[in-house]
Amino acid sequence: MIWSIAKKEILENIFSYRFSILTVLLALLMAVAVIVGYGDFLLRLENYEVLRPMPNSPNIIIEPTPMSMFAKGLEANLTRLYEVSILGIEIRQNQQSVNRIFSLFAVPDILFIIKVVLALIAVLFSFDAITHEKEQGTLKLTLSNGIRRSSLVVGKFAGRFVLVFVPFTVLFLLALLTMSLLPSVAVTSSFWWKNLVILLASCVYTLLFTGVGLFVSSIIHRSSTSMVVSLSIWLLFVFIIPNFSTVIAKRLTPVPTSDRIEMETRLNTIQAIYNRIQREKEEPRGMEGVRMIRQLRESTTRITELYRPKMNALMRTTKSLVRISPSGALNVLLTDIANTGLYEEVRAKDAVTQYVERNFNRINELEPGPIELFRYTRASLGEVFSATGYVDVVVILFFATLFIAAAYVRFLIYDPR
Amino acid sequence: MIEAIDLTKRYEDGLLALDHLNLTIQPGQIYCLLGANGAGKTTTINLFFDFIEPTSGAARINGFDCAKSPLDAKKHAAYVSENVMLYGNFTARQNLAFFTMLAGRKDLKKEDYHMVMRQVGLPERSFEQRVKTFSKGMRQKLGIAIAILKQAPALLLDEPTAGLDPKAAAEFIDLLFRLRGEGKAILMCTHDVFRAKEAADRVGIMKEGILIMERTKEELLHENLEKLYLKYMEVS
Repeated sequence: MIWSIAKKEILENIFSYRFSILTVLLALLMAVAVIVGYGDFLLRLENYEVLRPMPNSPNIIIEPTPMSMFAKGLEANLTRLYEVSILGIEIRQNQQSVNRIFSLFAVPDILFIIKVVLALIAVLFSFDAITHEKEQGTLKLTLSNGIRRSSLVVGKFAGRFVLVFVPFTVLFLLALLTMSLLPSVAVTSSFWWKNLVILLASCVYTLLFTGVGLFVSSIIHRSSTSMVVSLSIWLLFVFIIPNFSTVIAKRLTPVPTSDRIEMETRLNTIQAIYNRIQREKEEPRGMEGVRMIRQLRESTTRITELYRPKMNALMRTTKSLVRISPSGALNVLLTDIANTGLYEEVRAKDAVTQYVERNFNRINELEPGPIELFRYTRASLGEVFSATGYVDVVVILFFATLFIAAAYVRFLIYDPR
Repeated sequence: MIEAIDLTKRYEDGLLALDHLNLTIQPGQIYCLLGANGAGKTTTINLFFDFIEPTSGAARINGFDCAKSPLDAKKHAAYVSENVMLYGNFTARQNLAFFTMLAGRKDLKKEDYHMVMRQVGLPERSFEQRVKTFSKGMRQKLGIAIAILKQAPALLLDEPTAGLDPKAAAEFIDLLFRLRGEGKAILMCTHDVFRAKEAADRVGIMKEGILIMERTKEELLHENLEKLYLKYMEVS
């Protein structure tokens, strides 16, 4: 019975303009995301090939990941060049981080398609699942038969979900296959596993927003009102909560601005140079150069020690607040899985800091010996899940269960008149 | 058999829509419930299909209490509304197939659907046509076709001839006679006095939720139903 109802839902909608338009839109966006994502990846790869660490070179740069084609996240920041000097670590801007116009008019990646477009399509396919039947009068005729309401609502839910998720899965797999066949994309087993998990997360996310639409459709009696309410929830989850969370997090956990940090570093540099000049006047043949470097190193370390815990606290607060929304949780989860998220950034910065601690004296010729070659391996799927990913999965599953259960319970007492 | 025993419905806003309705419709009988808008006719149908819960009393179909065993009761009843609405993008046959599947009939073939559509008088060319192109009369006929294929012993109709042209209404009443001949218990709510007199074995007049008058077909041979209806409607 459930499958027959689901089949009816699919057949009723599959030849509609709504289905055709939204599927074509999804296909176009996927194609754009693959083309642009690959272009960006190649640009980062070229940059890396030029600047990649060589023996005895102090260059620190992380190899771009092909997963950034799915979720760009913080990849532009992660793949910047870190230079070590007497002032400590200096981060060079790359082409993508310098050109701010890209931030203003960001081209969607596959994460954007999942988080925004897939959720929107799921809502647009489910907001009228019940209200439309009531308006056209078929709900009473349907319920006049000996059919359980539970079977009807589950069938409707399954049909609407299939209508959204099957075309998405086909397009996602096509995009994945295309990317795996492109030159310069090193495909490993981890690449496939990570994408499988992204697909599973998208599945739960589609279930969630289909549940949102169905729930609203089961509490409201007019399709026009149901659409407005469903889209408001979508807007709240996808844009309002995640965007406001970052603003609130900044208020709750104040962090000194990068300008202030830079200013303090410069002041320390001036102070160190002044001290050196003063001491060289007193002892012309002393070790003032070495002293100055050490003084600078100490002051930079002090600033970093003060700044990084605050920055990490800000990230934790932001993550916690963003997770109030399932879309926020999905963003964190998918960027972490793609190794372009906050977790990877903290991990990479730790790796760079530790490398610099080990090699600072050799790089600045304060002690003899070869400079260690910087090597960095991105986090595995297991590591991401055990460190942070499980929280996001729980959040998304919680919201999906909540809305699906609410839609189910509400329909059992729905007035079909 | 269709039974209402002290069936009462008071809505949340305090409106008494149905007040201790008692009626019994035997197999092979057509009962017409007459009344103005808001008299409680549709509320009665809604109670039989468990669309709303009764405040007190019971509605029964073939012995099954519609509030306590709604699924069993609904298996034994077919519903035709004032304006049969179907899935516009589906053909007549696809609509039949879907609704008869809901009624638990999965053994039917294309020929069975065609046969019943012929039986209710739908033109052959319309069988595989999308329902959104159908006139109201054609949709009503398709509604009856669904009810026939359900093979339920009870048939409840809510203003089924409203808006139909005289020819279509006459054809519809002929169909009801055929179903009565097959032993169905039929409850038809209507405000069409002419059709009620023509079709009913018994007629009841409702006003403000109360069944204020009942007559058999034989009794109506000596009385003018239209005058009777107007007389009862005028009484405050």
